[in-house]
Parts: sequence; structure tokens; C-alpha cells
Amino acid sequence: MAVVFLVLAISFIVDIWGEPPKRVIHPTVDQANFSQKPARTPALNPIYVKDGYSYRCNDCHSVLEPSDVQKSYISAHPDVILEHGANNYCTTCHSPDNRERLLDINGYDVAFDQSHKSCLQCHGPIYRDWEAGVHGRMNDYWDTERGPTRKLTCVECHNPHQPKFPDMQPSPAPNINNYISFLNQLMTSEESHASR
Amino acid sequence: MHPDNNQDNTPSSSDHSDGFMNTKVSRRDFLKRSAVVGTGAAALVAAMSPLRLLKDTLTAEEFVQKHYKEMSSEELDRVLKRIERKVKERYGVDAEVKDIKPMDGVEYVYALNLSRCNGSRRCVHACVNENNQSRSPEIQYISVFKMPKGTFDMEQGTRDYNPETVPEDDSFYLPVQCFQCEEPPCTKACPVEATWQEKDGITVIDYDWCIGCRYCEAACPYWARRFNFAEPNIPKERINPSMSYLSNRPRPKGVVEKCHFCLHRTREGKLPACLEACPTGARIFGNILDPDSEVSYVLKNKRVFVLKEEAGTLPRFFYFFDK
Repeated sequence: MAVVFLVLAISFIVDIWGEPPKRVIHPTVDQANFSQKPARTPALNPIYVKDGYSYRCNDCHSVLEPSDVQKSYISAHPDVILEHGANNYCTTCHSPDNRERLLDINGYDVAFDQSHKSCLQCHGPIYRDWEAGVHGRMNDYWDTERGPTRKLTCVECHNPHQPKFPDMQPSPAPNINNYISFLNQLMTSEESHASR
Repeated sequence: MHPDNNQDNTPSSSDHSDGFMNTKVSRRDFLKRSAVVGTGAAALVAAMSPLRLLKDTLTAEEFVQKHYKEMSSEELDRVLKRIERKVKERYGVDAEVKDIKPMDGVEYVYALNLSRCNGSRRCVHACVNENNQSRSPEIQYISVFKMPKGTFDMEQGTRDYNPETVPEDDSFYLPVQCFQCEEPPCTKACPVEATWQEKDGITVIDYDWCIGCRYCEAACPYWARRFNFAEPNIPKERINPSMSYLSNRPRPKGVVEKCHFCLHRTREGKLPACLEACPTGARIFGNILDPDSEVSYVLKNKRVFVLKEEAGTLPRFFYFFDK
């Protein structure tokens, strides 16, 4: 017994065990990596600002004839790039008579905050899924008895002019090197593998 | 060799023992013995010195704590208060530790649309943030595998992808987490019943009862369980103060943890954290016993499948493609 203690004591004093593996402290990830913010914030009440003045859509469009040609990119809206399949005309979705409104296929007005009623005319199966809560994200409560479910609308993820969901930067990958000495061991073993 | 010497020594040694009994100790012998005893004591202290490094030792109260299922509500309340106190001591955060029981008539099912998942890993970090997982060493419940298109061979998948933007054209992304199986092999492997399936389908762990044998980790065919090899390290400002006993309270070193469908949220009617952070809406969660729920719609209308169906674990986590 005494011998065991003596050997242990010597081992601790001489410290044959070496340093415990040192922990790598990973940087704290940015809050944006788990934000619940929708992919985009749609303009439900569009106001056009230019040269310090702000205009409603109809301020200009009431005097402009609606164009029946394909959208030209040097017009008043150079930021709008239309890549929505075969829909090359503004008036496919926007009402030609009232530019503060959208249009459905039967010619009825659709308000900007009801834009899904325009989308559903072509995207029936997706709309059905969205209505059932299977396409697009939900937030807050799954149990509607406890609280409301917030269902994101089409335009909170998709830009109606370029509906393809944008590519995004991935959040940080998992770190496998949690310990410095472990990492060194790994590297030396890899080196010895390489030398063999 | 020297019989004379032997003869001389034998009586003298008997003299010594007599002397000891009669407390007539020579100065030399006293010094000798005290040196031996002193060295022995010093050796004992030195041999036990690593014990000094033990921090946060087990109190008697913790030592006699019962299994979660055997605790009365008063005992459980005391335990919850103690955990709150410890969180306050350690992180300086006023946490609320609750014990939330499963709801009646609810069985949780998760569905994931692989056509929508773009591999952005937002779910991974939302989960880490919600569930107070250790940041260094890193513990993450969700692994997102980048898989080459056209195969489900997990050997060809990798977690370690980091392109400029996702998704990449030649890949699809397969997030894997605990599937809350209906026939969980992990609970059967546990020798101390520290992990079990609750009636709403969530397999939970009593972190105070876990002995850290890691049998469950080996039994899981999906690599869903994680082991705390070191004392978890969480930045104070990132502690989620809304905690529950069976889910996201800070874990000690040497226990197993895993995804629990955010039970502290879902049992209060909220959606899991991974789902709320998913930018593409690939994740769908709900009550399968409700025929009008979103997950029921998925199971009725989509061609769903599970991972490693042949393992017979009956996962409550369904994947589907939707194009």
C-alpha cells in the first residue's frame, strides 16, 4: 500500500502524466446564424423615393401608358430584374390601370399584402401545400389552442421578380479539433502515415 | 555469512521491540520511524493531490437524489430550485428551470423536405443556442450531411463542407438528428434506465442519473447521441434562461445528451428552435394524432421515407422529396 502511494506520489511530483489536453476555445458564432428573420422583407406599401421626393406608384403611372412590350432594363426601375420564367411583362402581375394593385388572371385587383392570390393562379400545387402549412416556414406555435401560428407568405422568402430562392452563405462548419494535443497527435500520425 | 553478527543482532532487535512496548525508544529509532511515517503521510497527500483539482464536487443532496420518475413533486421542486441556484452561481443568469409533462393525445412527428433544404446549417446553430450545448468542445445535435446527388450511401456524405454559397449543384443536404424512434435501441442499452421514451414519443435523458457508460451512444444506429467529454463551456451571454429538467438545463461532464425535439418548447405548444430558424421552410413539425396537422398532411400526400428502415427502429422523423 505504502509503495503504491509512494509511486503515485513520485509520479505526480515528477509529473509523468503530462499536461491535460488543452481545450480549444471556439469563437462564438454570430447571432445571424440562428436568426428567425424571414429571408426578405417585402414592400407591402411600395413608395418610390428619388432625388429626395417620394412618390406613390400611381403618381407617375397614371400619366404613363402601360407598356405592352417586354420590360426594358433602362426604365425607371433599373433595380427590378425580371427572371420569373416566361413572365416578361410587368402587367402579367401588376394591374395596368392601378399600379398600387396586383392582378389576378380574371382581371380582379389584388392588394399587395394579399399577393399570394396572384401567385396561386400558376402555382397551384405549391399553394395547396402552403395552405396546408407544408410549403414555407411556420413560426411561433404548432398548437393553435396555445397561440397563433405565423405562416410566412410567398414574398417573405421569394422575390416575385426573381423567385428562385437566393443562394446563401452557410453557417460555420462543425469543429473537430476540440483539443490541442489531440490535434497535434492527429497531425503527427498523419505525417507518419505520409512518410510511410 | 557472519553468524556472530546474526547472533548479536537477534537479541538487540528483540530489545528494540521491548523498548517500543515499554516506550523506551532510542533517539535514532524514533527519528527513523517518524521519518518513515512522515514520508508515508506526505506520499499519501501527494498521491491524493489530483483530488484538489476536482471542482464542483457532488453534494450529499445530489448524491442521494432519486431517479426522475421516482421523485415526488416536492422533491422535484427542490431539485429544480437547486439547479436554478447552480446556474446562477456558475453563469450569473436567472434561469427558470421547469419540469414540463407530456400533453395528452399528442405524439410528435418531424418531417423534412430534402428538396428544400439548402444546407445552410441555420438549424444547427439555432439548436445549439436554444439548448445550451457546450461550445468548446463543440456539441451539436444536428449534423447536416452534404451528399452527392443520386445516392443515400452515408459513407459518401460529409459534414465538413464550406463553400462560398449553398446549395451546390451536385449535392443535396441531409440533416440528421435524434429521430425519437418508436422502438429506440438506446433506451434498451441503458443499464441504469437513465433514458426512456415518454408518452408523447420523445426519448429523454435524466442527466443526473446517467453514469456516462455511452452504451446508448453505441446502440443508436443514427449517431444521434453526444457525450460530454469535458465540462461544458458556454459563454454567459448565450445561456438560454428558459430551461427544463429533461431538456436544455446545463449538463455536467460525463453524461450523454441528444436532441429532444425542444420539449421545453414543444410541450408548451411552440415549434422547435431548428424549425423556426430554417430559412427555406424545409422542416415540418406537429402532432401526428391530429388528422389535420401539417405532418399528417405530409404523411398522407408525400412519398416519405426514413433512414435505415431495416434497423426496425420506426423513427418519428420522415424525409421526403417534393419536386
